[in-house]
Amino acid sequence: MKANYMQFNSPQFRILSEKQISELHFASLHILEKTGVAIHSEKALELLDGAGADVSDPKRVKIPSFVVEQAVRTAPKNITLYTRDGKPCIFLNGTRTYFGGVVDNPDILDPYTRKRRPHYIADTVNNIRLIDYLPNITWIMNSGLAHGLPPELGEKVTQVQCLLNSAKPVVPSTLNAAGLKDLIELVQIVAGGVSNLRARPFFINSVEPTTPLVHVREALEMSLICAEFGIPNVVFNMLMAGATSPATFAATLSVANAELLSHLTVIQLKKPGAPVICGGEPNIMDMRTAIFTYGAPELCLLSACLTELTHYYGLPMFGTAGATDAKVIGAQAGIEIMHQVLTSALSGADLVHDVGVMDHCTMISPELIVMTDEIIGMVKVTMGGLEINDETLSLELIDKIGPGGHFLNEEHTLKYFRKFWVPSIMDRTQLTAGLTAESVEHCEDLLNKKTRKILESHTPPPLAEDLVKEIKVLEASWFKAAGLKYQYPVKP
Amino acid sequence: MDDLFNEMKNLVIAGNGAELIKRVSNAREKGIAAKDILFKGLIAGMDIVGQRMKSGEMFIPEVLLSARTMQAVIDAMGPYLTEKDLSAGGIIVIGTVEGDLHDIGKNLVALMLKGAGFKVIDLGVDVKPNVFVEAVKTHKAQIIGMSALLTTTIVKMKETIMALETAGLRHKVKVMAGGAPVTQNLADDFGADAYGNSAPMAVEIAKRFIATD
Repeated sequence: MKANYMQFNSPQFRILSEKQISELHFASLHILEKTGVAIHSEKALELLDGAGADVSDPKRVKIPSFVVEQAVRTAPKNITLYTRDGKPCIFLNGTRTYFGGVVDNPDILDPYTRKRRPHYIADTVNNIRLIDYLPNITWIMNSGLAHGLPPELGEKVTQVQCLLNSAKPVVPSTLNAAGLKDLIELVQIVAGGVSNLRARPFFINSVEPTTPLVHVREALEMSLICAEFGIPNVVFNMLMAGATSPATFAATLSVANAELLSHLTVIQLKKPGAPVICGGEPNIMDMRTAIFTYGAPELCLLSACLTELTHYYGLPMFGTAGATDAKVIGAQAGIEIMHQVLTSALSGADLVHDVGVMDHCTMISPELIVMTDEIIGMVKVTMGGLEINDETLSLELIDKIGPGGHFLNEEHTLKYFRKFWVPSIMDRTQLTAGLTAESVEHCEDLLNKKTRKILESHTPPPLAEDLVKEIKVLEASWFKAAGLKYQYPVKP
Repeated sequence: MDDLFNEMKNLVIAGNGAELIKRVSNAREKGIAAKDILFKGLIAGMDIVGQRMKSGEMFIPEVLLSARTMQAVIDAMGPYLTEKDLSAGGIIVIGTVEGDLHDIGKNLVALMLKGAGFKVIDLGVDVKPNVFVEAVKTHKAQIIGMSALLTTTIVKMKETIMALETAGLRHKVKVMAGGAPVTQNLADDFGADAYGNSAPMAVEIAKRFIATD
């Protein structure tokens, strides 16, 4: 037996000390008490007023610390997400990291032509099928914009396709309260009623505060609906240090946190215990181009810090990885995404979004989704750590083989070598006689081939026929209400 | 005289307002026309700033310092500069479209356009199509600049262009569109005259519009 022995099951990683975290926490409380936040919703103002906030100026609503701290206390610290068919699959409590993708992007990098073009509903279907197949992408975000459909209809049709093409949980992107209500009407068909949806959520909303320190009406109204229906709600913000927040990282994190806490407070005042996932993309503005740069190492650093902050409250974190500023699949995409995936995993962000996003979130790449799946697979090995015991130390075996021998014929090798990670798109060939650099299938070729193979062969688990029928009736009514013929626009 | 203009240019680039005001006073004492000070000194300096931003030598906060410096000097020149001088570069109406409150990119474009000698009427955020139309009428604008950050508000750009058509103004103004999710394809789709992906590009396009007007 071992005595007083502690074993790590993953690498240990920490950026902020406890004192540093509490300093950021108090800075956020100070901002909320002294500077205040803009609240663009009467209902939210009423809730804050009732709780003791100073709402005399809706552009600077000042929230006392005790109100915020009470909200942190009532927010659930453990949220379970389910599959479409009600199986628990994602456990948000600060102990596991789950990657998901993609988001609303107008264009797609077509894996067949390798060219950029507008993103159609047929592409959404393909992206979802791809994610359904990939083992390391465990949940779905709305995948791409529905070219040719009005946005209000596009978000709903996209959600229909998410439900039809995968059982994995979905975070849609919603425009406003009316759209969210329509989506709830849709997903409750699959759940078998609103109470089942509340009990076993597989549909998670997301809203965004507008940095700095503004909560817009649409976001607040959606959050209040989620609280009412018990639908988990992601609150995440995108700060650009030097532009929409101060250029120093401590201030940027304090502002980010203040926005999240104040939004959380409104939700908890509406319904204590309403499930909320906090998070965001605290980042820099690229000071040469003014873009929100997904490839910035600062995004990785600040996201890891924000994860430590949200975990300090016991709340799950919504992070970012799998997105690149690059326009082609190549070195830049690989470098940026590996860094994001590794730091997200090390810090333990719970739900990590944006897999498959390119060119500053204007283009989705199915190949990038597959590449990120591979990267996550690699990172999983590092995150797995290692087990040390008599069997894994195998001193007897080392002694038996002795100096100069080999282990290829050993039972022990047969037992354990299968745990080695095997790449699916990394080129590990060695150039020998008859093999030249030109004749080798390189990573980008293997990636393209794998992507196409999945698209051409994977069939997702089907949804029950009666449910599909019911969904189609509802979908047809949306097209009718929009004055459109019930058919999806197709690429010319 | 060229030396004085060169000094002004360099002070705009360095963002040194105190020294710049002295040079401008010198120039006035020497009887140099206000329009020449504006275009050969200040705006010529901002031109270089724009080029340096494009080539990656100058970063946005430095560019903004130059633009602020130049604006402060223009304000200090007061009535010495006529309305005609100030709008000689062109008149542009700019705003973030209806339903969208994101304005950092739009503000940056507005500042750069001012720096390039345009008279900029900034309508702010959440600008309804008819507000754009009215502003074009009131200010006799030659260009409209529209910005959107949300993928869902891009559609408002199309509506704004349609409103211009309805008002019979479409042929009188050039329309440029920008914002993170806007692409050339989308801009073509809804009938904008140009798409720009950065503030310097917006300035280039606006200058091209005025030159070919």
